[in-house]
Formats: sequence, structure tokens, C-alpha cells
Amino acid sequence: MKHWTDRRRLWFYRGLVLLSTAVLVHLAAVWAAPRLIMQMLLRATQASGVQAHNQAAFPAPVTAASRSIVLPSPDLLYSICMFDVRHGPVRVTANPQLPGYWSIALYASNSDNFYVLNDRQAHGKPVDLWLVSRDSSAKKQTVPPGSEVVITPSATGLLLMRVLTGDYDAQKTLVESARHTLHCEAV
Amino acid sequence: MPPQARWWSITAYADDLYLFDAPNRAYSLNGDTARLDMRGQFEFTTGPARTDERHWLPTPGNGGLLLALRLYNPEPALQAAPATLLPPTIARLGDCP
Repeated sequence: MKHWTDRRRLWFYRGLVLLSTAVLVHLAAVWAAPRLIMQMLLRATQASGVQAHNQAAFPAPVTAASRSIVLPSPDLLYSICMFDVRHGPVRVTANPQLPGYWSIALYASNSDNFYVLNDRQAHGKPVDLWLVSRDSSAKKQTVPPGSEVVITPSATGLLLMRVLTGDYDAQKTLVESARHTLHCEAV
Repeated sequence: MPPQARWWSITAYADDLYLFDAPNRAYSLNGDTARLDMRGQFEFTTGPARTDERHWLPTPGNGGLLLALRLYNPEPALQAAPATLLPPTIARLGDCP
């Protein structure tokens, strides 16, 4: 670079700064942000006193006081489970017999949705999932008959069960009993 | 007309993107609560105070407003071409206070 003029050197450093900034912004937006959002969500859940580590929890219906997520849907009842398969599989069962929409979705620690099942796909059959990490294939041998093996891309993550209710006061008994069929436990 | 979906809802949010303290927790109009007229259409008014007999979706009245339309299990044709959605029409009935 000793033959470079000051002007060419200046443009080289400008290009270097631009490239470094682009790489950092890319890492922040594409890699770090989803993980950070998931961490914030999990911490907010713990801070609110909800015990959901490898167990199902049933937060109260969304109201004007709900401030953890923007644009919360008042038409959905949520059940959650923060799964952790580091020490073994986690079994998830549910049997929400409802005429309307419900779904169970699984999110990895980077907030990627890697599994979803809704009422139409379930065809009225009970849900029975066996969550295992990628490196615990040997555990598959203990899978109960009828249980669906789901390999989680990360050791920890979030299960979100959504139950639709357009008129909670009128449908409370039905939808509350449906969402309380969710069980989530380490095996 | 109701959107071509198994279920739908229209939710009112304050300009901070959260729900606000609506009377009777009337946060949304949806496929369960909307009443269809003889033409199979629904109507509602939205604002800080009820103004007529139509379904009323309360709004804060002291700031901006965001109405969110959600469709659950949209019909296959709509899912294949979301831009063909005919959203509900909105007409202003009076001046803002």
C-alpha cells in the first residue's frame, strides 16, 4: 500500500468501515435480534411469576394491562411451556376438543417456528409429542406408542398453544377446559 | 362482507400498539360477535362514544388508533393471492373531537 495515494487510502478505509458496519448490522439483525427477543420473552414470563419450565402454564386472558408483546390478540387464549431437553426428552400432551381453531406451535431459542399443529391437522385426535434434542436419538427407543417424535433444533425453547375465543365470557367454560388439557413434563 | 376465512377479527389498538381499557373488554369485533344484515354484511361504528345502534368498537379518544384485521384459516384462493382481499370499507361519520 506504500504506493497508494492518500486519496486511495482514504477510500479503502471508508470501504472497510462500510463493510464492517454491514457485517455488524447483519449479525445484529439476523442473528442476535431473534435470540434476544426470545430471551426477553422468557425472562418476562419468569418475571411475571409464571412457572412454565417443562410444565404447562396458563396465563390470564389478554387485557389492556398486557404489555409484554405489542398488538396482542384478545381473541386468543394462550397456554405456554418453556421446554428444556438438555437433560432428556419432554413429553407434551393435549386434547382440546373444540369446534373452533386451536394450534400448538414450537419455537427454538432463536425464535424460529419449527413445528405447528392445528385442529384441522389433528383431525380430533389427542396431541402427543415427544421432544428430543438432536443428539439424543438413542432416547427414541423409549418413545411411548403413538407419540410423535419432534427433534428440537435448540435445547431450550417455547411451546405456545393458542385457543381461539371470540367471546370469552360466553365461551369461558369450554375454552378454559380445552386449554387446560395441555401437559408438558420432562421424562 | 365478512372476509373469506374460517374466522376473522378486527381489533382496535391505541397508538402505542397495545390494547386500551375498553368498556366491557370490547377489544374486537369478530366472527362470533358480528351481526350480519340481510345482505350478509356487517357494520360497526368505532370511536370514543357510542353514536348509534350499530355494534360499537370503543377507541381511546385521546390519541391515534390502529385497526388490525386478522384472518384465521383463509379460503385457499385468498391464501394463494392475499392481495385479492377485499377489506372492510371505512367511512368517517363526523369530525374528530
